[in-house]
Amino acid sequence: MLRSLIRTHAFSRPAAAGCPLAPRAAALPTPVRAQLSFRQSARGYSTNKSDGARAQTASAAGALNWKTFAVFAATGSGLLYYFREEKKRVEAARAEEARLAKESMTYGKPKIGGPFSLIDHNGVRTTNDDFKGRYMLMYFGFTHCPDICPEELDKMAEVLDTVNADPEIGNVITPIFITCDPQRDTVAEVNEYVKDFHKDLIGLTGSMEEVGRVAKAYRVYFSKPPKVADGEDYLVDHSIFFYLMAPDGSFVDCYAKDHTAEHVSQSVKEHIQAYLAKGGQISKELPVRKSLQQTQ
Amino acid sequence: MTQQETVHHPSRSARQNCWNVRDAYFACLDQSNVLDPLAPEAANVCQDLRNQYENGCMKSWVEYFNKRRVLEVEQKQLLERMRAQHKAVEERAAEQKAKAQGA
Repeated sequence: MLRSLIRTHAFSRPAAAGCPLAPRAAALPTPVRAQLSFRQSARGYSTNKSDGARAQTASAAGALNWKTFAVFAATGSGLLYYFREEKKRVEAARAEEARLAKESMTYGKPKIGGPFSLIDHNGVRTTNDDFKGRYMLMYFGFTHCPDICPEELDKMAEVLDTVNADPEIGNVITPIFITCDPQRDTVAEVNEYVKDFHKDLIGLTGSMEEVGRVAKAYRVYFSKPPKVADGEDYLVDHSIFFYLMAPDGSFVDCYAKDHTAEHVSQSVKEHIQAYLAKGGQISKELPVRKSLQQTQ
Repeated sequence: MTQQETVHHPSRSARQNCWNVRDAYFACLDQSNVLDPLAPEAANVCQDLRNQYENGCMKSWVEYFNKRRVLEVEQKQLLERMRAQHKAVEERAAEQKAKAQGA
């Protein structure tokens, strides 16, 4: 479970990319462009292959062709090896996962999560204890996020509605959005933002230290660009998983961007049903925070 | 500050509007066969749509969408090339195997 989680992290971070595509990924185009230009010239060459006279026209790119061909051949055999090894590895991992499926329900879970203390979208100090007794679906993002966070939060809302509509389960999940951009995401920003997605969604912000601590506990990476002038807008690079946490606050599962709402709903339901089948108790009341009662 | 504190992040409708003008601009670039919105050849095409896009989306979003448009296409092409190579290598291996068996 832990291994597969780490693999997901390691694999999908650069490929599927966090909310803003990591600016560092922009380094990719250079070699790609070199190959692209080759490809164009190669196309001209190969279509004229049978025509000896016209093949001359491609000779300008000859050196490039040779070099690139060598690279291609090397890459090709490397890839073949890689694909074969990868296939073996995936098959072995799948068998291993099936074997561990039962056990992983009870032990071998990664240590993700932990206590936190943040400010909710009403400006009330809120801790992990306020959410105990119910499942939590948690997402880390930021309100200025261009498209991935809002899409993921819409997906989360869909999952919630699906699970809530199941008569055997009911409303047992508290959805939580935690900002990784506490500098811009004030209580007012978060308040306005969560309303866009789901009536139950709780938005949390805090100081940079508080947010840093919770992100670390949930193994969430986030990074604000180093040089941002005052008033200039920016994007925060961050991991984009959402987490399902058990009523005791322990980690249950995490879902990536390529998981559909149907897949996540099904998986969440199965986890909750398994917990209920073991005699687990879950509160159907939305959390009424003690701190909130005190201020009222 | 009263209840109506100023909120700076784009609302749901502002986001949707930004995605719409972005998609319209990118579709126009596609029609003009321009991939990179920052390339010199992009300067002379789809100017109205470009203005709508740049006015309708935050600056950081424009930068991000522009970069992603190029990266997505390049990643797709890279993947296609990798697949084609993989297939070619497999075919050659099969050919050699068949030859070896025939001999």
